[in-house]
Parts: sequence; structure tokens; C-alpha cells
Amino acid sequence: MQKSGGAVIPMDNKDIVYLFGARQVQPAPREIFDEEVCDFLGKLSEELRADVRAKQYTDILTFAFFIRRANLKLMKERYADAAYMIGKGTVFHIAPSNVPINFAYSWVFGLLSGNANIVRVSMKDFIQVRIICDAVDRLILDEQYRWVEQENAVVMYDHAKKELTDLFSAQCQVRLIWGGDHTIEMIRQSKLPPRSTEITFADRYSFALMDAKAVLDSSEQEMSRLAANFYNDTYLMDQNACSTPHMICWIGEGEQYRKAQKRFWEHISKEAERYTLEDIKASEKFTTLCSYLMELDTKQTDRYQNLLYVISLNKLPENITKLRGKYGLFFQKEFQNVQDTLVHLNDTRVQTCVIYGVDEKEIKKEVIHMHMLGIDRVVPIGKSLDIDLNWDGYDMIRGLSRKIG
Amino acid sequence: MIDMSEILQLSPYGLPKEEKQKLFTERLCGLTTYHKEHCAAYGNVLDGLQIDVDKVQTYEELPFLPVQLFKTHALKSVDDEEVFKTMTSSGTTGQAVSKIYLDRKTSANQQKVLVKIVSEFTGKSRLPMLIIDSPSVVKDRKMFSARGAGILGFSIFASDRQYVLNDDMQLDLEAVQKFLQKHNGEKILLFGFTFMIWQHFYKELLKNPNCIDLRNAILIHGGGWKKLANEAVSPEEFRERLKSVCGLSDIHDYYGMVEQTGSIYMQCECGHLHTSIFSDVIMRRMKDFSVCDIGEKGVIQVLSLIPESYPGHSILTEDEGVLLGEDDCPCGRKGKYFEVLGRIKNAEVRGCSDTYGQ
Repeated sequence: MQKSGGAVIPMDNKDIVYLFGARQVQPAPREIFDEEVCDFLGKLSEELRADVRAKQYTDILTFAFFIRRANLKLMKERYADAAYMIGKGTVFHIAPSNVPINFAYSWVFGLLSGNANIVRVSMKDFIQVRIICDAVDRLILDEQYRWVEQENAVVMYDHAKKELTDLFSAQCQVRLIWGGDHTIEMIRQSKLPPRSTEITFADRYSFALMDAKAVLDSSEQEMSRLAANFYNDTYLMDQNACSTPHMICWIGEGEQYRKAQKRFWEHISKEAERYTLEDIKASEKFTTLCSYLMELDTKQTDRYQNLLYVISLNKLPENITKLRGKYGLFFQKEFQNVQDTLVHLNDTRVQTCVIYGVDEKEIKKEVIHMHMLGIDRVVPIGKSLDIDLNWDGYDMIRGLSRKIG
Repeated sequence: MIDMSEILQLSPYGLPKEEKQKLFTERLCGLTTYHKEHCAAYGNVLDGLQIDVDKVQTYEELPFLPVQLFKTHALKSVDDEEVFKTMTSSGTTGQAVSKIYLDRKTSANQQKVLVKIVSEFTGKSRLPMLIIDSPSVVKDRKMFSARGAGILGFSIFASDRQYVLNDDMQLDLEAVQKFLQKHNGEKILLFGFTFMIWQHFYKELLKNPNCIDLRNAILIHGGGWKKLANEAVSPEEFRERLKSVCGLSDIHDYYGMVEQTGSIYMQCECGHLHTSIFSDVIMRRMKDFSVCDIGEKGVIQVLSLIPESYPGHSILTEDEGVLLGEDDCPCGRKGKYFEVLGRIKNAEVRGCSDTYGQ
């Protein structure tokens, strides 16, 4: 038994599975984008890209691409004027249980901001988690990466064991909770030390803003690309990620709306043919559709088999964030202009505004101009799931580090 | 719309395909229009799905409501004052249950249809009945659970009744023996839920095999196989084991649900579940809701001619099944015959929110 900050730390608890790393993580705060850290991540990127097992997992490859040396350099440049920034100490990450790769991004945020990390992953034991942890395990055999093992651990334990969450929470300077409202509520039952802070990724709502004329002016080729991008933003994650749009807001005039919608959804319905709609999902989706039809003021519903449902609304409900589709069920409504749209989306829960044919800067300016409570991201269609150092309204580097003033 | 009283005159397994199709198209189109006019929520769904009942050629084209909606919405086509009783499905604690609103007419028709169907198997006269359950399940008469409703529904076939289990779900062997003695020589009707029979009746009899003789008895049981499948008990094994402990050999499973009480699907001597002239099944492909071929697995849509007080005449269940044939079961009964394969299996859902805990 060893004492640390008053808490008794069992050196080897049999209820904890360590995928790699120290039984007792040793915090040694580093400057943000520390050279050793960047070098290690660059090496990990190479290791993963050369890994035959990793090749079949596009999420791993995307992650490996994210931490390639060139991209780390680009990210570092964004913080070029940030001098004297250093990690806070230890970050305790609670990774979500239905996006296997997410733990790795969370960990990278912790590393790049100069921290030691304890990353809790799901008991589901995803193969992607294993592949990445195995790669790290191979690298830390090398003397120069030994520090990685001393300052980091990826752990797995039964989530019902609150005492373990208590233990790790007591050791951290920042707690990072993914997994939505329910998980946040559960984890918050474990206390944090007085100086420690928390970053939470709660349940969010996202929507799309499309310009009807832009859709009508697009070439067939561009439409196919748009459809593929929209598919990736939505179907790829069962339309269940926080940054996935549910509501499509159309800006245009007169006949444009109807024509653009028809063109757009026909392309989407073709793209959706590659989606695996399991029977249970089709059943849930149809139930959701019927529920909404009972409750909402709808104009029309377009069904493309059971792969795609589009509900056109006459009138918006009071709380627009309740309009949630799943497995390819969308809502749409026509608006006059950007302002006219955003008025209905002034809610802290609103996260990503996915755009097509609309100016990104204009939206961001409007969010400020209109004193809005929500909208933390504005990205083009196809980028809604792209994770970045700015995520969910947080600057991850600044949120996980301290500034020596 | 043809009235139930006329349909009740017909023989439950007597209509060939074409005649049944005609009857169903007429009555179900009538019910669809009726409910559209009397249940606003149902009307909204029909409007939303852009269904024009006047253009429907056969009842296969009629819309269906997903069964889950009866758990989340109060669906009824009668005024509150006319609701004579409300039935609920038997969900486990914390789970949402279906609520089915019945007026006197629909409730009476459920009972009449049940009698027509079941007496095809038990005979016209009433029989001494052993209920393999405890009397406590039917105590609250205002709120009928599926189990309670089943017991009360089947009680109409009883000339005399005896509950087999006491309030603590213990087998009351003495009472059963006394009852059998009293009705010595008579055919006995046994009724219960599949899992209850296995857990509280069979397992107890196994401790003392052949302490009762049920060779001259008929068992009707329902409620599904999910719990028994968990114990790895197949329908064949269920029948064989029951026979070995008490001689019982005339055993009929049935498929039914609280959302369509009365028009149940009885299992024939060949082991097939049958539609009667009061009900039908359509197996659907979930990709586009097209109709499956004979022998092809699909999700079961159930249709009943009875429901007038609530829009439950056409429902998409969450059960998988396979149609085995129509009008040509070796047992001689007309109508479709089919097999229920169990619940649609769960799928891994992606996303950010931890819906499934671990």
C-alpha cells in the first residue's frame, strides 16, 4: 500500500484490468505539445499504419492519420502564441461504451496538453482498443518511450464498482466524462478533490442547414459526393452520435425548396442502400416514425422503403431538440434565411450546425450577434464526426492545461 | 362494414383463402376507416403515411401500428365513459406495459371469438378446469393483466374450477387430487402460462411422478417460450416431460397477445399455429415491409376482426415467424398455419450516448 494525496492506493487491485501502463500513474506535467509526446504519437501513428490487424478498421486508420507527425505540427502551430502552458497533472478519462476509438482521442488530448492519464475503457473489450493498446505495449519496450508507461494507464473495470471510480477520481486534476447525461450523473457520484475540474460531454443536439439553390446548382458528381458525406455524418453512427444532424433546415424560396429536397433525398436514399438496417432497428425506426406522426404537425412523410424516412413539418414543436431520428429518420422544414432558422435553435443542448451552401463564418457571427446559448461547431456536411482539439465547445488543450502567468 | 355478429355465425376454420380474403378486406378496411374517424392519433398516423383506404385492393395493403405504440400512447376510439375495462400486458417491473381500452361490445366479442376458437379443440360442453396459476393474479378486476385476462377468458370453458397454485405459488397437490377425484371419469381442461406450468407445476410433479393422472385431460397454454428457451427447454421437451410425469398428452400451445385478446392462434395436432377466420398473420420483410414467401422468415403482423374500441386490428409485432402454408395443413383446418420463432434479436447500436451501461 502506498499513500498518495491522502488516498490509499492498492498497488494491484484484481478488479482492474490494465491494458497497458502503470499500476500507479506518476504525474510529471509537461509543456503542451511536448516534443517527447509528439515524437511518441508520431511513432504510434507509424506503428498503427503498419499493423496488419489495424488495416481493416477505418476508425483506427483515421486515428493513426490524426496523430501523424505532420498533423501534430499543424495542431501545434495553432497554439504558437500560447507560451508557458503546462499540463495540470493527471487526467482521468471516462470513455464511452459505444464508440470504440473514442478513448484514443481522449487520451491524445490528455497527452498533448501535457498530462499523465488514466483512461477507463468499456468492459465490452473492443478489438480496436486491444489493437491500439498492443501497439503502445510494443513501443514502450523501447527505453525512450518508457515514460509513457509510467505516466499513463488504460484500465477496464466493472462500472458498478463505484469505489474504483472514487479512487481514480481522487487522484486526478481533471476528469473527462464522455458518454452523455446518464454517465455524467453516475460518475459525479464520485467526489473530485477541491482543485480538480471536470469536462463533460453531455447529450447534445445537432442539425443541418442547407441552401436549396446550392443543391439545385450542384453537378451530379457533387451530389454523389454530398450524399456520401451526409451518409458518413448520419447512418455511419446509426444517427446516434451527438454531432449527427436530425433536423434539416432549408433556406431558399418558392419552388426551390421542393425541388432541392427531392433531389437531395433521392441521392441519400441511393446512398443509404449500403446501410445495414437490422430488423430490430427497422422496427424501432417505424415505431419512432409513427410516434412522431401522432404528436407532430406534419405536412408530408417521404419513405424510401424503410431505409430513409423524411418528415416534413408544418410547424415546429416548442422544443426542437426533441426531434430526434434514428437509423435514417430525418425532419425537415423551410426557413427564410439564417437568422430565421437560428431563432429556433437557441438552446444549450444544440452542438453542431452542419452546413451546405451556407457561409460558415456567417453562422458563427450570427451565434454571437444573436446571443445564442447553443451551437458550438459549424462544419460542412461530411465533417460532423471529425474530432478536433476544439470539441463540443471546449478548447481541449486549454481546458486540460494551466497557464503560468 | 360487416358486423361481428354475422362473422360469429361462421365456422372458425371453414373459410378457404379467397373467401377469407374478401371478408378480411371488407371488415378491416371498414375498421381502418372507423378508427381513423374516431381516434385522432391513429388518424394522424394514417395521414402521415399517406394512406388512402379507398384505394386499398386487399387487406395486405392496409397500414399497421407497431405494438410498442400501445405502451407509449393511450389509443382508443371510444369516449372515456364507454371504457368498460382496461387490459395491460404483463411487463416486468419498470417496463412500460401496453394499455388496451375495451368497451362492452369489443370485450364481449373477444369472449365470443375465444369460445368459437377454443371449443373446436375442447368440444362444445364445459369441462372441469384446473388453472395452473394462483388466484391472486385475478384479484384486481379493474386492471387486467394479460395473465389475469387469459385466466378469466378461459374460465368460460369451465364447469368447475380449481386453482392449482396457492398465493405463494406453491403447488396445492391435495386440492388437485380432490378435484380430480370429484370429476373422476370426466375430461379435464388445464390452462396456464407456459413458464408457470414448467416452473411451478412440472418441476413439483417431478418430485413425485404420477401422483396425479392426467391422461384424460387437455392442456392449453400460452405466453411464449422466451423464459423456457433461457432454461434450454424446447417445445418438444416440454411436451415429453409433461407426459412422463402425469400422462398428459393432449397439449396445445397458443399464440396471442393482450393487444388482440380473443382471436388467438391455436396449435393443432400437427404442432402448427393456426389463423382462424377471426385473425390473420402476414410475415413482413423489414427492409421494405413487403410480404414474405411461404417458408421465409419475417416479422409477424397480426390482424384481428374484433377491435372496435381501440385501433388494434392491424399490429406489427416484434416477433419473428415463418408462414408454413395456407388451407393445406394435414389437420384439415383452413387458414394460414405458421411458426413463431421468438423476438427479433437485439442489435448493437452505435453513437455517443451510453445507452447500454457497460
